[in-house]
Amino acid sequence: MLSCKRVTALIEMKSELNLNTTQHTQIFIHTRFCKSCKLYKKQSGLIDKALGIIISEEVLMMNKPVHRLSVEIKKDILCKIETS
Amino acid sequence: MELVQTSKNKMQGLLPTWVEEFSDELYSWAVYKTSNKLIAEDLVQDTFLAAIKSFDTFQEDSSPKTWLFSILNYKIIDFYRKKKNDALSNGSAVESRGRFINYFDSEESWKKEHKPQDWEIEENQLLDDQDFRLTLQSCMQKLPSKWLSVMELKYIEGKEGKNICQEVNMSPANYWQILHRAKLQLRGCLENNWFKNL
Repeated sequence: MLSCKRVTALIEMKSELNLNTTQHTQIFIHTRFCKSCKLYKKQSGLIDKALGIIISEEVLMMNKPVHRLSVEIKKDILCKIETS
Repeated sequence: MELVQTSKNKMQGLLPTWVEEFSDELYSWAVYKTSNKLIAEDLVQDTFLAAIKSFDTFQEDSSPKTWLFSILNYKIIDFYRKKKNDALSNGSAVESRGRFINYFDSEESWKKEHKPQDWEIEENQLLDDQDFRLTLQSCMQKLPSKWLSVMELKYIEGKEGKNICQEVNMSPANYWQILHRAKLQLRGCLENNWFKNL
């Protein structure tokens, strides 16, 4: 049986690569007997989803200013740059 | 002396154009993150003050927008950290950048104290949980910048490993190793700072 370190590495590759049958079997068997790696697999998938959602939301937000910073504050910042 | 002067001139030439170009975007982002316009104004001002001070660390081939947003994100996380009475920075072993936990023993099995715990939470609940999101962001910021840029390419731009490897000039083996390590640290950091505080 593969070690926990190597199985968790395989689990990460699984999201992007087509693993071969042996590798799939290795993950399957290992996570059947190892509760820790089974939890890791589930949580790793959750983190992937969360990262995907959070980051894409953020990118959308970053490219679309919906509020305007007041002119006074902009002036204030420019003033600080000038006198720095 | 002359060098210092040139850098200052450059800063005074560039920064005003960045204020024009990016301050609304930075401000909108801060409002979105804090839901408070006054705090958002302060954070944007702080961001530009920090940019003045650390202008020397800006690398000319990088994007000013990315640079400014990364400063702002630190400020936002810092703001929440103070607000939560340092709840995020207490009691965790993965704290400062560059210090990492080795989760496995010499036989490559999970160390007893680092075995994943059952988070006992539904997926939908988790993705809506504001604390979880903030902790995840804070945990991301603790990764080394090279790891972070790999993660960003993967998750922001949805790029596949082979393209990322080309872009950052990295071998596939190295890419998978970074991804694996980053994920282990993120998971551990979430468990320590979010799950254990539930």
